[in-house]
Amino acid sequence: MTRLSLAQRGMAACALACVLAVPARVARGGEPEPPTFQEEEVVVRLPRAEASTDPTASASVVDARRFAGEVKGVAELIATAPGVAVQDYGGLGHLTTVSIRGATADDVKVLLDGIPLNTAAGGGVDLSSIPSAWIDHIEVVRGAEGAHAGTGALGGVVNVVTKPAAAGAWSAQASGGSFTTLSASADAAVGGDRWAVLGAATAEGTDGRFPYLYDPTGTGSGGLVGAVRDNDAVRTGGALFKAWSAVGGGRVDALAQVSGGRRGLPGWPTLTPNDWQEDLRAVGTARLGQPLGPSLFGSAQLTGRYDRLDVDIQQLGPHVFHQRGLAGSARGEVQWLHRAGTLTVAGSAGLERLTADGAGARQRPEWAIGVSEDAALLAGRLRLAPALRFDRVGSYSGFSGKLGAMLRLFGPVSLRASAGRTFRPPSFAELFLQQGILEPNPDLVSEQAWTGDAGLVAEGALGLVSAGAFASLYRDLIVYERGSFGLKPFNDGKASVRGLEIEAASAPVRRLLGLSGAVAYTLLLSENLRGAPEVVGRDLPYRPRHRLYARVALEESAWGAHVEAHWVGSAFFDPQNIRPYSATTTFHAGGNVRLLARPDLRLALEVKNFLDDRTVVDAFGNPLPARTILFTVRVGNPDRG
Amino acid sequence: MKTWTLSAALVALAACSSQKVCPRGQAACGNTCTAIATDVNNCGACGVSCGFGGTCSAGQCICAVGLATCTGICVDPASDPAHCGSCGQACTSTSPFCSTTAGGTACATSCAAGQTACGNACVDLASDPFHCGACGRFCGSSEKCIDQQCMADLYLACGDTNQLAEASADLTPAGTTYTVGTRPVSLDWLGGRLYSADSIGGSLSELRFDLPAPNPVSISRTFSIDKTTAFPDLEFVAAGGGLLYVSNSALANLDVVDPFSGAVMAAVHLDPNGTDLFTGPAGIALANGKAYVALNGADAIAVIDVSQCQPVPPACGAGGDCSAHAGTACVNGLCVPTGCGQFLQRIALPPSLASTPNGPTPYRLLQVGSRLYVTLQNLDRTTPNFAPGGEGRLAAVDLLTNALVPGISGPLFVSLPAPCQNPGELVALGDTLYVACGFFDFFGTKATQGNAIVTVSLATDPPTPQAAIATQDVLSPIASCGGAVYAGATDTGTVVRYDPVTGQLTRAPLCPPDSNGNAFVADLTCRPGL
Repeated sequence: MTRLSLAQRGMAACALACVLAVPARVARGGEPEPPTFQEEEVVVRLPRAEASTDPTASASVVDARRFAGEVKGVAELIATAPGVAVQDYGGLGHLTTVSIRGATADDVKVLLDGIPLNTAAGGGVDLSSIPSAWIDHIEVVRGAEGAHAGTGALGGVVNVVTKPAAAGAWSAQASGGSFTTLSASADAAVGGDRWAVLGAATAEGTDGRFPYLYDPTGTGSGGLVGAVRDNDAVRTGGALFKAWSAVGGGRVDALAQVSGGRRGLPGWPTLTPNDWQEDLRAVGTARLGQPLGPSLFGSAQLTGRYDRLDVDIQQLGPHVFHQRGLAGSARGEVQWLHRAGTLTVAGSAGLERLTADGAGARQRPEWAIGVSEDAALLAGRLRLAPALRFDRVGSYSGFSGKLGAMLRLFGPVSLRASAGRTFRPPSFAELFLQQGILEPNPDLVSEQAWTGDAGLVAEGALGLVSAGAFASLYRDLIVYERGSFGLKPFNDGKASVRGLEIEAASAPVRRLLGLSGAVAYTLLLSENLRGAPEVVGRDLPYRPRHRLYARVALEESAWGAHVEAHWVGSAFFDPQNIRPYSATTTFHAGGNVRLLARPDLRLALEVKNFLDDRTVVDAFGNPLPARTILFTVRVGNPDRG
Repeated sequence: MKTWTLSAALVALAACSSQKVCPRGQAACGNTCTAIATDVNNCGACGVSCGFGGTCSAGQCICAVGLATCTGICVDPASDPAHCGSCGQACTSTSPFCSTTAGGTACATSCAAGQTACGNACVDLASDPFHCGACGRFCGSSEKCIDQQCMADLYLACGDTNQLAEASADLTPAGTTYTVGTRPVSLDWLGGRLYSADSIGGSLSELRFDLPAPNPVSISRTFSIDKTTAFPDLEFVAAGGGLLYVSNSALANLDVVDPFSGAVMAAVHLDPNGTDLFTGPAGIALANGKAYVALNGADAIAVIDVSQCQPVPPACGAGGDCSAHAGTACVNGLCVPTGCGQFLQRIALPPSLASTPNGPTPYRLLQVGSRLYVTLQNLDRTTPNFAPGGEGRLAAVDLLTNALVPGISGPLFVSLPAPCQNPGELVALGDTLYVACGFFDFFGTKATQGNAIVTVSLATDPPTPQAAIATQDVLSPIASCGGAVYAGATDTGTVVRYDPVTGQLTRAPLCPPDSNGNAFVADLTCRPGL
């Protein structure tokens, strides 16, 4: 048998794990591990910087268990990573989107366990529609990732990975607090050596009636008036089913997820007390992984997704807007472990259908083929990861490419660099939607992105430090401009974004009350490269130049505490950079205490916006919640979970 | 590292290739787009100045009308001492000045009374387009010198290109274009300056005509009215009593603005009970110390007391102190009378005024005598595209009683002559009202309907619908000057001129299309005194 280097073995193991991801606690040879009774041990979790899908990419991995007991949604979790900007439209379960490296929400690919949630309708993915109770970790990959993730990943990828089906693991959590905000979730997994099933359910709600202050004159003169948010209630829920089973020498994985809810649409500054939205999403997938030979592994996967959206905006008339989406795809992949690394060839084909008022019934087939290599050279010191993919989506097609490299310099310090390009076909909304003041444009072409980055990463026992620079160029961006009467999308946008991304997290003295600290800083310099003279060279609107996240936590076995700060620098409402809006700083704090060791029963308190800043608004000017106090009771299996 | 170097170089290279995109027919000269077909300072290309006596036509410098070409240069034989009266007729040192008086053009020892010596040329600074207000301060193409200021006849708010455009009364493009804030929608004059309400920009832009050469006409200021709303929406600006009044649709306010400081003196909320689904303040009329605001979404006219709003309010003292000015309070740095901008009442427009079940949707207002006339669009709010649900109408408010003028049964309304639908602005010429009409079915067939200029006689009471002048353009803004009526097209950049005497209808594209080929005339106004 060919001898493999350590790095090669690592990659081979990774490839194997992708196919044969049996739980780590199953002993070799199928023998169950003897029960372990750990001494009380402080487990301090820190972010990581290596994504499973693209190990050389600039990435942050946010471990949800690090925030266990805290009421944090997907957006709040990924906002702890550099390069990421979340837009929170109203807070408390309302629309939340993500931008990476200045790209729009449409240009960030959001995956749930690898399944794309972006629909052909466009508009990005509402992160608040992903129940946070199921999350195990989130991979944030920055840069053009089309070669790995397919079209639409101009700014990057957010891959939300749900809890694994690990037999014996179970937990339940209930929260309640300000503004009648309530949530409950539970999950449990059963199984054996060769199978496991996870079931999870969650329900959340709030009446959203929080106080806020606003300037009714719009002059910014400081004369603020108090009010209470109305028609802001949210009710959501969902269920998750995951299972795996060893089949012969391979393994079958299955996942089914359904989530949805109803949200009031309170409006701003014109209040809309009767507007609402209902949404539902169901996702299902089944995957078979099978060794095909001594160094060859194959997998086949079927995926389906159903999206349903009803919106009633009374200003647009007494019509409820309906949108229904259905997508299905089949994917096959072969991995070859060769002397230098792993070569992966994958192909997929599918069909997406969308029916929407104002856009009609539309469908488009899509297929893709890609090849990628993860090679270890120079005795494992250098890792090269080229990838190339061709996508055809309806009548749009193009190549996405990525070349990544990681050079281990010394100790835990390595240098990472990557460059890539990808594209996003126009969405059905951009091509066909005729609603309100929106006009379609069937002549659109794909948006394109070229990105490059380089940075130093040190990841070891003390934690993580990474510092990198990036540059992105976005071309043919689809922007809405005035058409013949309303607003019509055109490929008129062109912009460059460059900056720095710094992340550090450490628990230097773990015996000292489990002290840990984390900081993420983003410098984002955007420049509009196309448009009227008065906008060329200006910052893109809604792109703050600076973002900073900082957290200090103490984590003892019997209790924990943390404090967080988010600082978002000032930016502009308009492309001319005439109308600035102010920087905001919000603080959150919390703590937990263990009530019972077995099972692990904890009571947690979290205070969001604890300085009670009632003037914080989102990018649309919607007021965001004032001080929010939430109590959480959480119970789980201390040995599994 | 190669990948990084390569990508950085790629991005850097691409970043250098920024593109300044201007409306069609314009070029980016410095940081502004200008009409190189007519701009005397950028004629045909950036930096090409036509110089003294030149005008720019179709991108070529030519001598202005009334000038002569002597040895290849443009000269004004009425004042040029080297060509006094005719080419080569040079004045001598004993009579060095060239002057034109009622007695003709001749060399003289000094300039005649009322004339100013610009060098040895005797000119009238009040009317000479090449020495307008100051020696060598020449006006733009087709601009006139009116009271020492260079002015065109018509000014247009070009909504798609974020510009103000100029034109002469015969619809010839004039001067150049002036970049204002985002999406100008409404124009009005105050103190010899033209103000533009920039809807999406949430700002007012000020076009001045008394600036020094080489750009005597320029946008001098753009001041933000709505500083906090993510999506501002200013709908209308009206000037009166030394102040500006702005319909702030995003906040459902009437903003009273001091034009000197640009500060909002009062922001009067037009939905004080918070009952409107959409208030939609639109047109404004000022009369008897009150501001009347058409509430397009609320089917009403708001009445605001602005009699206490005085122009040129004093600045606040330290810490917002206004104790030196009794009866005032410090608002945005100004000591504003506390009674400035008091909401008085709403004049509800009942369903009987509507030709559609969904309200009359008032739009624009015009004071004529003791009445206020209001156009009723009669849009059907139940349709996705707010299509006209019936005929366009007029209603009237009695300014003495602040009540609707009664008709035979219920409030008076006037059905506008067919085919008028979706009436926009209205203007009075003599005892006739002219109303611009038209609707573009953007969401459906893309067809237009109801396009016309219609007339209503005010010589009778009630007013009598008269004629409809059908047009191919969807018209909304309208103005009257020089005995003619001008209307702007909202589906194209065309301006229509109607001569009531001859009945002649002419049209010309005056708002340039943007880079995507779209243009619309959001508003138009004549220069004062024309």
